[in-house]
Amino acid sequence: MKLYNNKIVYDPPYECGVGEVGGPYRVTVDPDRCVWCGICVTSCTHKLTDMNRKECVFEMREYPVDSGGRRLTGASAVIDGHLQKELHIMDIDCCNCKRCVAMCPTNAIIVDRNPNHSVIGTGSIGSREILQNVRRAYGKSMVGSMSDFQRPLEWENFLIDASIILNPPRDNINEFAGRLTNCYLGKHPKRRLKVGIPVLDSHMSYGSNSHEAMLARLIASIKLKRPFFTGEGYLHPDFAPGFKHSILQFGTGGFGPWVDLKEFAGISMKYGQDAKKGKGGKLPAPKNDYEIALLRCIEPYRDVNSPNPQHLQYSIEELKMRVESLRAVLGEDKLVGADIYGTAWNAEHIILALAQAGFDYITIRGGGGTTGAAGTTDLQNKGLDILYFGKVAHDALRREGLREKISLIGEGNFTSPKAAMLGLMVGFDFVGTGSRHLFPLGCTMCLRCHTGQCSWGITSRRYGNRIDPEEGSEMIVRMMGSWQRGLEGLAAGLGFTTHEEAVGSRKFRYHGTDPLLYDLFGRGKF
Amino acid sequence: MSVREIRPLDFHPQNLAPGSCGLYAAAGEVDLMASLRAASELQGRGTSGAGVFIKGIYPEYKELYALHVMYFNRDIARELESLFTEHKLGLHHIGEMEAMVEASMYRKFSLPELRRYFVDLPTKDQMLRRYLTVDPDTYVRRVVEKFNTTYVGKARIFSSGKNVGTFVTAYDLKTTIEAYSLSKFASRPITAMMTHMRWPTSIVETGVWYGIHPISFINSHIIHNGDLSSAPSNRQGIEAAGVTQMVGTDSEAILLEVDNLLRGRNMSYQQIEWAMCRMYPQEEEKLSEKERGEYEDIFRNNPELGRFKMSGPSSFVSIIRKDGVARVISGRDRDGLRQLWMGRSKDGKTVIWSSEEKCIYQTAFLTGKKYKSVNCEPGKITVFELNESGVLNGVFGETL
Repeated sequence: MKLYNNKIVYDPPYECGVGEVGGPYRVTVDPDRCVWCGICVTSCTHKLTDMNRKECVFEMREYPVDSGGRRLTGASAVIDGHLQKELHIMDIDCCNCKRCVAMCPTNAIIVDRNPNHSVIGTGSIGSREILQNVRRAYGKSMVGSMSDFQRPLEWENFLIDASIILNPPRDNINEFAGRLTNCYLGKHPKRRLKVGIPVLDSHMSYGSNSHEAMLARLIASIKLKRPFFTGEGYLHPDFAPGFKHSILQFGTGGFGPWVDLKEFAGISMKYGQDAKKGKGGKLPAPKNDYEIALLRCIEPYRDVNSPNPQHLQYSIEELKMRVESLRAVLGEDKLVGADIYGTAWNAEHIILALAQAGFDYITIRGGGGTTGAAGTTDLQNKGLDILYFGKVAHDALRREGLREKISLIGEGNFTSPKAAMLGLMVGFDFVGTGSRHLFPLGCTMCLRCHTGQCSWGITSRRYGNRIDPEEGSEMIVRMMGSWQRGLEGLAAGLGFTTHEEAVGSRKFRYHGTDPLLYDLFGRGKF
Repeated sequence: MSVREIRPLDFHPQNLAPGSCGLYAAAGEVDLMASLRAASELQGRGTSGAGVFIKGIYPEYKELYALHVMYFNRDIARELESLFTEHKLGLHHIGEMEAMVEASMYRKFSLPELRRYFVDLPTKDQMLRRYLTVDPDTYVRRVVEKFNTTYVGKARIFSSGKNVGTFVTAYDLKTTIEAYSLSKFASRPITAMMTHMRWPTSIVETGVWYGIHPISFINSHIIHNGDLSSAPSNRQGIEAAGVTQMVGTDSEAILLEVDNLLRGRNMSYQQIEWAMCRMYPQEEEKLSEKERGEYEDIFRNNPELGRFKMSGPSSFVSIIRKDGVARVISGRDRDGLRQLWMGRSKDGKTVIWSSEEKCIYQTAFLTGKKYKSVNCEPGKITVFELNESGVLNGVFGETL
């Protein structure tokens, strides 16, 4: 069969008018390089504007032609060895996930920003503000994922006292200086969980992640000898062998069949998440399929909220009773933790109340955290810097003599081993990262988690089979191994030989422009 | 090929890099002046700031607590002295206030106002009312903690044990000996002494008020050589154990750790060694199953012990009294970054610890005794028991 007079066609937008400035990204295919294989068509999964469209951003149309290149129709449309292919591109739905770019065998596709979309407005009121309000005017959904409102944290403005000349232990034959492999989660003798690395995977729900992505992360956590934190969405029964390595999260949604609780290593009480203030976490209807609904014991194909704030269980007076009743049910050897977000004014009191109630660990989420799905307004409502909460929590617990009775986990944009080391040094026993664990699986932060159309199969159950859990877990393990080496290098330079020595040592200084951070870590002794 | 010029070594203090401390301790039959002379060999190692601890100097008042107090100046001394003399602190003052240094020394050197008080305990009822304890040592410790934390920058009790005394100045060892006229104690039945030369490295701003060694609380005393990279962790560990810190240096944290492990937790010497020095992974593998279980259990059951490890260069000698018997505990960091030499006389009656071996030679020369010496093994502690009459008994580790 011969291909004849193939074309690349850029489809016109569905409609014109206010706000129709095209999609945020522009897709261009080089016709000289394209081999018309159609991999881009199967790669792309994103269509939001017209759900009736057969394909997504790419669509391949084929026409039989005669030897002269004329299209054949009707009875004469018998393929006689000549075919014309047209690659139609509707880039209004493109989210820059780069799956097509990564899969294209000839590197013919270029995805870049659409200037028509981004170059409008003024310096102070830009395209984001204008187009958001236009979306509201058109009655479109205001649910988003992760956050492009994230304030970048200034990790580079923290100066670590590395390479102290006199201090580092130097017996490298007998001991690798700065070993951070012996960490304990929980401080009670009956329930101290040995953890192989001070960087943990954050809570993410089964349902927000696909089966395969969840499995890859679970396997990676087991390989790294650390607990696996589930989200509110319980765990699939297929993961039963991994229950004993998992800590189950319970939130106000109350999702789950609540069976086999004793199989889990512990339970986390979710009292808030920084990225989901206001209405709280949301599982959009398209992602709430029958299996998820069955697992969560809810009605399928409708939006599901995990309400927040959580007065039902946030009563300080009842916290102790709640912990004790959980211990009575689960047994003394199970960890019971609390997940909170960093509140603006009373974080200290909440943390102390939780510690006094007898929780084994507190997970604090700071302003840099992201989420799979939440309202735009909630995403804009970013909290304070996580290092601030680390200092507040560590100092308050020290003052009350509770610091060695409870572990602290910090989450919120710990982007690198240096950031993680700062988290440890400010006072967290562990730091958690969520999206970092998705990057090896293909995540490019395209912010479409909430649509259930993730082309990499991370947050879309339909395309989950694009991930090989075994290979994915290996990549996460390798990535975390690299983080571990980075952390240990810094620890060795600082003269630490154990995990405990790093925690709360505060051997750094801030020299950036953030007034809060400068007050805390830039001025005087801290 | 060029020939490198070899210069003769010059040990003049000015030509030595300041950076390490001089540490010297002796226990058993101690010749005070010979020991001080030998210790002064180490003066060149560091900067100024020197202290001497002597055990057995107040035999006539051995049932009373001897408080050595420094006031910032005479006005403050006048203001605060009534706390001691009029029993306001909860201790009964016996006898008269004694000036620790002669008046001429204040003209010769810049010294804080230095005074000594011998005090006794109140009734048990009063002790209970004030600090909820009837244990004499705990009670006096609470009094000292309260005083030292209340009057920071104004006054400090820098020695508070029975029949022991610590003497510190911001000058070198020779001046310290001269200012306090330490030679007058030479004839007393001294059973142990410790000296240390140099300001502490971990905090310098509090200087003479808090930094200079020996650090001494009631019956626990230490000299420490090194700059611990684990200092913040050690301090937090001791804080988590519920022990009040008055000085805030790494040396104090080490003293309080040993004290807490030995007296507070009643741990064995082996467990103290494990907590402070830890084992290498391959050493752990060689342990029997029972021992390994015991080793892991002490850290699993006591989360704060994870913070007790000394990391970075360190060597120390501490004297801690428990159940009426003083324990001289010495140790060295596991990586062997700081030296600690130990010498024992051939008759076994005297043991000396020093930063450098030359002090042991010097002592041997001055006292006419024969000594055998060894560089202490890194990561190991050595323990001697020392009774009131100065008889030494090696009980743990390499005791020669």
